[in-house]
Amino acid sequence: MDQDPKSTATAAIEHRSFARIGFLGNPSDVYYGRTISFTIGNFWASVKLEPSEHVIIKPHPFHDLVQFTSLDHLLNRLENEGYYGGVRLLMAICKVFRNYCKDNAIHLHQHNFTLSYDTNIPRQTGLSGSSAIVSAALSCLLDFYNVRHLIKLQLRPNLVLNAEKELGIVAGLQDRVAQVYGGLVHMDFSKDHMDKLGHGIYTPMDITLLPPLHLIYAENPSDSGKVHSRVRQRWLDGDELIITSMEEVGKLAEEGRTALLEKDHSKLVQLMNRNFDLRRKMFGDECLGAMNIEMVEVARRVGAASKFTGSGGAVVVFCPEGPSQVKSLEEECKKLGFILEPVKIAPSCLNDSDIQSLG
Amino acid sequence: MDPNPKPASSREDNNKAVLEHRSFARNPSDVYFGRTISFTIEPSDHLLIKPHPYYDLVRFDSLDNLVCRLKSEGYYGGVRLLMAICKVFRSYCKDNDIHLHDRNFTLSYDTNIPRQTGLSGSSAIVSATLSCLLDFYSVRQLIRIEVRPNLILNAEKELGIVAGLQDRVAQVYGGGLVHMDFSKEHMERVGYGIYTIMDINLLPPLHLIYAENPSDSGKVHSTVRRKWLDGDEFIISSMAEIAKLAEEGRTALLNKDYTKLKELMNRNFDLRRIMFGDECLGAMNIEMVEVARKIGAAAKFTGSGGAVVAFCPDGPSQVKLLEEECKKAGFIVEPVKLVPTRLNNSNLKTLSKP
Repeated sequence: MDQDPKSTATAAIEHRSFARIGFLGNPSDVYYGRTISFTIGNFWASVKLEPSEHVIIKPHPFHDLVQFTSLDHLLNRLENEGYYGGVRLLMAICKVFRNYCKDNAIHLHQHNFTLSYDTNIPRQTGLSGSSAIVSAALSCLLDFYNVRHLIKLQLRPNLVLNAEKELGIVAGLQDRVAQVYGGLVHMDFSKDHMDKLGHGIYTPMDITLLPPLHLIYAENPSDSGKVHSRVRQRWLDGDELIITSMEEVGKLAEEGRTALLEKDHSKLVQLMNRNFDLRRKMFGDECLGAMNIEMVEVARRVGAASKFTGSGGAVVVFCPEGPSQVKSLEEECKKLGFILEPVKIAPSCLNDSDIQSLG
Repeated sequence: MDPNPKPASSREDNNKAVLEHRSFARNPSDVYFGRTISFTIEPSDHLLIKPHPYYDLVRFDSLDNLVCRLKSEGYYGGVRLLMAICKVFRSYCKDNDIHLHDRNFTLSYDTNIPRQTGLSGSSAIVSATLSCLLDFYSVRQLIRIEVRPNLILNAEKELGIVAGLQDRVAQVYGGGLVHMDFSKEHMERVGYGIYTIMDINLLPPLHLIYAENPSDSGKVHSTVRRKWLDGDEFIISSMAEIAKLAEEGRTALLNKDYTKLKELMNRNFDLRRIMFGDECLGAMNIEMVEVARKIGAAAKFTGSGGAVVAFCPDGPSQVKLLEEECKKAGFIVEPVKLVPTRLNNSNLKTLSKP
């Protein structure tokens, strides 16, 4: 997208970033492992960038928690959603982007802009709502400043993650890779690559390889931040159980890639279930949360495969027996007050400039 | 640009006039069951309560300006402070069967307290908001004054702000000079300290030194607290000594013993310096203290760094020297304006309850 500065000065730029599901291998991405993730069309965040006299970060009237129906309503939202909306995410990526350009002698013009956003990704459901806002904003900045071809595609997930790290958000690269690339992506985070390149090896895969999947979530969100805590420390301390379990989780992504290519659905069921079972062993029920575990088990009860989409809050389900099994699952979810939706896969969002940056 | 839509109802306008309160800005031993003396400083503008288009970081001159402000001010403005105190206040009322009517309100604020200068800008915003809520719901006489600093601190704790009670006590007591005893026995028994109002006329003329680059006051508490909890003898005895300085200070003030005061102020900072270390305190903060010491004034931090309170015992000629030295170093120096206590009858009534 090659625009001269004048035309950039008048045009508004808008980008969407979709929610993502960690299909197999998460959370080994934080531990030099491998994952397969994909973006879903069910939910997304969109960011709009418009040229303006000042740089303005527009708070969202709802998501930035400024308007309430009553004092109790305020209390409620704080309890469920926390204090922070999207504004700090937008500011963080502006800062990280600016510093990256400075450090890499990438010249930026002097025009200002207004950033605003919207999102329908349910909060704290392990669907990567925060990183969606950040990666959509980054995409807008890349176009506004005409530097898309100058910032390597493989590095952009790092920029997104660094922005979130600024705010104390604990996470791995997996989600951000999925959102930057779009579609189905296999990711190899082995230490060798990470140390040498500063990023992993990311391979887009054909989304039609995925079988029909479903999403279960509830209205009470979980706190995905807490879930990473003790396991990481134990891994750093050399805890053997954690180290071997994480390695096994990473291997599930490898076997998963083969299973997808061979359309081996019963293998997929096995791998998805094993992924969650390993997580459960490592983190423990208290950490995972009773409601989250219930969402996994409701699916298992009807014979479906199930695991977290991320760190809790939502579950991805595969019903290998087809529509009749889905119907049973629907009934069970209804009884428990869970929401069940078919997953719509969002395809890859790479354009020519992105591919050019791959180098 | 006003990012907040105006409320539909006009009731809020009437309430605004009733709900305007000032809160003013004003030593690490309060977190360690010791004693402190604090005082407050009068700002030159009104303090209103409102989510602010500038302080809530929404508008900038350029991308570089944004990056700069984030670096010096952090990500968070006043809005989260307002929300936190609403939450803590509401929860406290629920837990104590204090009935609240169900009318709504708009909260807004302004501040001129320089950010991250150890002058308690955050807690000032929170305590002013609490004061508004107490009046809006007419529950001032139902919430003991001694408890209010805890509510403020709890609001800030919600947001991960690390602090002690000292600042909040000074602000709740609304000006004047307050002696505070945070001894363990009392804290554990009732949950708050013993607060005694002193005559502000006992204070000598004082000056405030600060710079444009703020420090991150949060980081400064870090390893010392851990050491204290781990039973580090040096830290424990140093903290106890700091607390004693407040005791000797009370006597020195009552006796107008200004030589003693100078000694105590200097000792306070010197102890802080030994415990926390220069790296923690920050070169610029130490420089502010030393620029005052160089000309024979007493100097110590106002809080955890970012601003320094100085006492020139030799009077106006010494103050002039101080002004010159500060100018050379690029620091701002201002005379401290003391504010007498604002406690109204409702506050005092609660105060006298057992």
